[in-house]
Amino acid sequence: MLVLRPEQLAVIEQHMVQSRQRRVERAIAASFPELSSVDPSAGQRVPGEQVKGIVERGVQSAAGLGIEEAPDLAAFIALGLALRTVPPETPTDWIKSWLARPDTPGATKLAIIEAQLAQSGVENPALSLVAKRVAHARQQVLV
Amino acid sequence: MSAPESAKDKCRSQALQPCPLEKGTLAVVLVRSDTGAPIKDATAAVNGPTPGTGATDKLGAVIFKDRTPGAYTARITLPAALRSYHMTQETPKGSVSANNTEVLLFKAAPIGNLYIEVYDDRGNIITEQAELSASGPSKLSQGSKAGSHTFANVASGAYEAFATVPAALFEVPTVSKKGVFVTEGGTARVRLVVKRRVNVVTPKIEMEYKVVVLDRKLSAHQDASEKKILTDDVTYLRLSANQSTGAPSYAGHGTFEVSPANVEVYVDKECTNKLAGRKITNRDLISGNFNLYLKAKTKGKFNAKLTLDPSNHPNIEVKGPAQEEMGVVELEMKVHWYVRSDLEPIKIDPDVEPYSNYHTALKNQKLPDQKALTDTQKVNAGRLLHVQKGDSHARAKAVVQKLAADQWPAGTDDYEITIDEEPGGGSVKLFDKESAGSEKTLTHKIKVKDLKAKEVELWVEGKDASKKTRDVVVDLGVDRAAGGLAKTPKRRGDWSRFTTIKIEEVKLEYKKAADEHAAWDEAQKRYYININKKADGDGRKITISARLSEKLIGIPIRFMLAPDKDNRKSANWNIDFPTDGKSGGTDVKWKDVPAALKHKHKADRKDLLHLMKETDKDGNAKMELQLSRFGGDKFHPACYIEQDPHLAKYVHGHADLGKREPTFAKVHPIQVWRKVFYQTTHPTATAMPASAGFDGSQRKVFVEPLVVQEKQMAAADFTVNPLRADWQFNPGGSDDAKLCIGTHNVDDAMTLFVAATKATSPKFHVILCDEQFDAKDVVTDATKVVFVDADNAAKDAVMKSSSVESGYLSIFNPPLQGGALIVTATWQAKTKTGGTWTVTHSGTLAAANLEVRKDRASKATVRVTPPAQCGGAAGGCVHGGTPTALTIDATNAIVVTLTLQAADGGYNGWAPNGKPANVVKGGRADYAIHNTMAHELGHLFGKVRHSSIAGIPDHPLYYQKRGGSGTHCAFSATFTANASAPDLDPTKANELDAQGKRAGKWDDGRCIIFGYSVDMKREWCKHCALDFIVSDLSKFG
Repeated sequence: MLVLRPEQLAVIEQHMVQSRQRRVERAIAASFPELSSVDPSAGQRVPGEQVKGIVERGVQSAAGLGIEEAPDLAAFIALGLALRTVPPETPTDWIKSWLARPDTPGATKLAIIEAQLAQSGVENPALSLVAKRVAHARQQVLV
Repeated sequence: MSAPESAKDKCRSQALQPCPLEKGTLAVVLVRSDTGAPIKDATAAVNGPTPGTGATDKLGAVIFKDRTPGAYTARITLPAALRSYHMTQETPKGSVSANNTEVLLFKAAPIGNLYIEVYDDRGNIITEQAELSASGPSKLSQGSKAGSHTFANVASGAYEAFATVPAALFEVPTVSKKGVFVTEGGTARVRLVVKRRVNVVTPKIEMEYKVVVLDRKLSAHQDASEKKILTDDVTYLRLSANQSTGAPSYAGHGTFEVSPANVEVYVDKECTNKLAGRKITNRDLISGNFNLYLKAKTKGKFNAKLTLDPSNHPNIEVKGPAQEEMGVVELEMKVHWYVRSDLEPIKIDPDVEPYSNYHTALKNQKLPDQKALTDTQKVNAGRLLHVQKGDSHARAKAVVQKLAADQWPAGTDDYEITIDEEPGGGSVKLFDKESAGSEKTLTHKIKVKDLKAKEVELWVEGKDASKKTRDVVVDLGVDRAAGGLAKTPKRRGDWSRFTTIKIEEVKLEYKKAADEHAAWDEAQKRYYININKKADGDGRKITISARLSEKLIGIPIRFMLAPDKDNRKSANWNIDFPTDGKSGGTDVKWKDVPAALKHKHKADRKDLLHLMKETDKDGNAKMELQLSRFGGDKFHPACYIEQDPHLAKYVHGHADLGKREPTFAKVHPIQVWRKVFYQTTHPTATAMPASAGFDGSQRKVFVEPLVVQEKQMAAADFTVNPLRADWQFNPGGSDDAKLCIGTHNVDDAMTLFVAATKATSPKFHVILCDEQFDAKDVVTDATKVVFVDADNAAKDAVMKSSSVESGYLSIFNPPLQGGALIVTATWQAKTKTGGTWTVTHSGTLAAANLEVRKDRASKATVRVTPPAQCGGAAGGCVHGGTPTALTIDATNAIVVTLTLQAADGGYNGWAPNGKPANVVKGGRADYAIHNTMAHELGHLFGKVRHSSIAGIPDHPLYYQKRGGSGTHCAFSATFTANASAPDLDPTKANELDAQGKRAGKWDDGRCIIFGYSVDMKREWCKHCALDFIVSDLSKFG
């Protein structure tokens, strides 16, 4: 039987955290090409320092909202980025309210927010676009 | 943290695979659809593996955690206060999976009313069937004929209202309005407006062309039997009434008018049925294919108008009249030609010095301008053209006249005036310049706007020959770019006929009569002008024919004999016409040469145009022209048509005037030649030498000798035997018999001559003899022969004659002329007494006392034997009595006085006066015989001429006597004066000398007709050659 000592577990967990962060960074870079650059050798978008910083700050914010899993983190960070682009008059308070809701798991909050965004298309095209970018970021983490 | 949540977290932290114990979350969310605000206090009941119930919180949500995965349904019950709300979106079903949240979203909204009404564009609510609808929080739809509808109790929110009306009645069948907001408890009103369709009826005139071409009535000039060439003077219009909807249908008719009435209006394209004020029926108007035909009547613009009857129906709008400005237009093309009466007066004198001045004058002579044909002439005469060859033939000027702008309506500037030709036998080409330039391919088109600015000058050239006269028709027409009504180019607005001819062949027409000799030697291109007994002038007449490629009658053809560039020069004449010639004391230049001797191809030598003849029904024309009289002259027979008057200026070999050429004869040039025929008659024993040397000399002066008979002669042919022993002619000679011809027996020789016929004229007789002595009427002077003292025996006596030049007196026995040798022979015996001689006896010398001896020293010598006794009284002795013996001693002498028949000779040749004969001594070298033949031929033709002829250079070297018999040529000869000889007066007949020489002798002459023979072949000198060239050799003398 393999027995891991706590310091060994810590190293593994650290590795997993870093791996998750890179996945999120890639997802954000793919969903927000304006924030990334193309690596000629790799032929794909790679996260730049700006993205890394955004993700790092996003992960930290998410932690306080109960959002931990990589897809949720990607969706959360994408939500934050996408909302910066909507017109000022767009009703977004309800999103903040949901994120701030204390007794609901982060994944659930995000699911409810994403579901409402997906249904807002007819009345509010800006939010519909937000929904698409969030969904795209979530999907990129799973790729 | 609830228990399920703790389990979940455990599972997440301890394994990557979903934990079978984990549950899922089901969230039910209810918000307002109109504002997005959450609705709290609604009851959410869920059914599924883990059912539950809950009230929505302030975020409108109920979160059911720890739900066993599986299918769930949810139902919302609004709170009592919101029972009037309408559910606008429901997601009642979902599926919960482990570790996931299923969200079932519901939306509800308060209610209000939506009122939709529809009006037409005239402000009236519509009563037609309409579908009223709206999209937004609720989908609404209601059919109506009332023009409005209230959708009551509909969910609040933003709507888009629609009205759909019948497309047949309204221009836009569906209209809508966005942003209609139904508020809670309120009524939103929407007014939609639809535009009714109106049947707008619009009259329309479509035109094949905006113009109608005026018929200039040229066909009226055509012969009644001809197929008329008609102008396309009809343009059709299409009239219609266009209905925008067709409903309600328009039932009115139309009225068509033109003003002013520059056209006649027909309903049929044959223009037999006039519209005559009739209405255009509704059916015709609506059909869209009703045509009217406008036939040009008066040139100028006019207005075409179609007016529709009005309609009382409100939904029919009849537009005002359709009007089109149109025009009746006249097209005119002025075709030009050269007018004979302009050309015929042009005179240019060819008899100028130097001759090149004539060419310069020709070159500088400006031809009159072509003049316009009248309409009648365009139709009935037509313009004549020769099919172009190189650049030789002229083009016809054709000017398309400037268009009258006031005839052409607006919109026609890009119309095109067409120039084209009707298909026919002949054809033409079009150019932009009188010569060279660019070809304008037919159909050639000129924009109307360009022709409104100015006329356009074009030039028409013959391309293919006409099959019939005037079978080419060049016309003006109108065309336009494609588009609009189908069109047919309008033709023959103006037109002109052309005849394009080709002179296919020009030739010298010659057919000799059965009794003639061929004057035309086509192979050698020689025309013999002096034969067949034709006097000078007639013999030079030749007939030139021209044949057109087609059998066209009445085409005027001009005939010319273009002089070769080398006439009057060595290249053609072998000599140059002298620049220093004189006739008497007057200078003679070429201009002074009598015109009668020059070629004739014009009625007046100064005319520009040549003689003319029109073609017959077979397209042939013939004209008699006259060659010059100058041997060696060459002429190029050629023809041209009057419409190529520049060809009248054609000069062979001229740098400018020789470029454009008439149609030359098939065989050219023709060279002027003469011919002489001759018979040779020679002694049986003496052969006639070959004639090449003789022929060659004559050909150099363009005289062709032709032997037509050869005969032999013998003693039997003569009254007096012409044969004598050679020694009698030539002391010391042989006993061979020689045949002598001279004045005494030439008539006998001439009996062998076959007289010239028409076919052998002029003909002369070459009588070749062994010796040529003239004995007719030749006697010696009375010559005394004295026997005295010791001179008492027979002795030779040399006879004398004052009529025969020294050295030429010859005694023959028997005499050549026949008869006795002695004419008179008397003697006297004299006795000297006391110093005085007294006749004692006398008598007639017996013939036996005279002897012509073979051994004589000269041909004038005879041997005389004195008489031995007298004849007594019976013998006529002065002493009488009986015959007495005679004594010759110092005191007795006998004096014999002789007059004998004699001859003058020998000569190498002789041309007997009044006879076409040429007596030539044979037995010599061929060249010597040929010299003599030619020499004597020269005499036969009167050479050397010593008399002056006005306009013809004198022979500057003739002489008489001075070593010859007759008139001879001193070319290259040297003169030795003889002061002791009897004087000769160079101005006196028979003593003439052109160089003023007096007594003496010319020697070493080099001309054939020098006075005596020398041992070399000789030729005609340039002076004699000129005299041959310019002389009439149709007869001798």
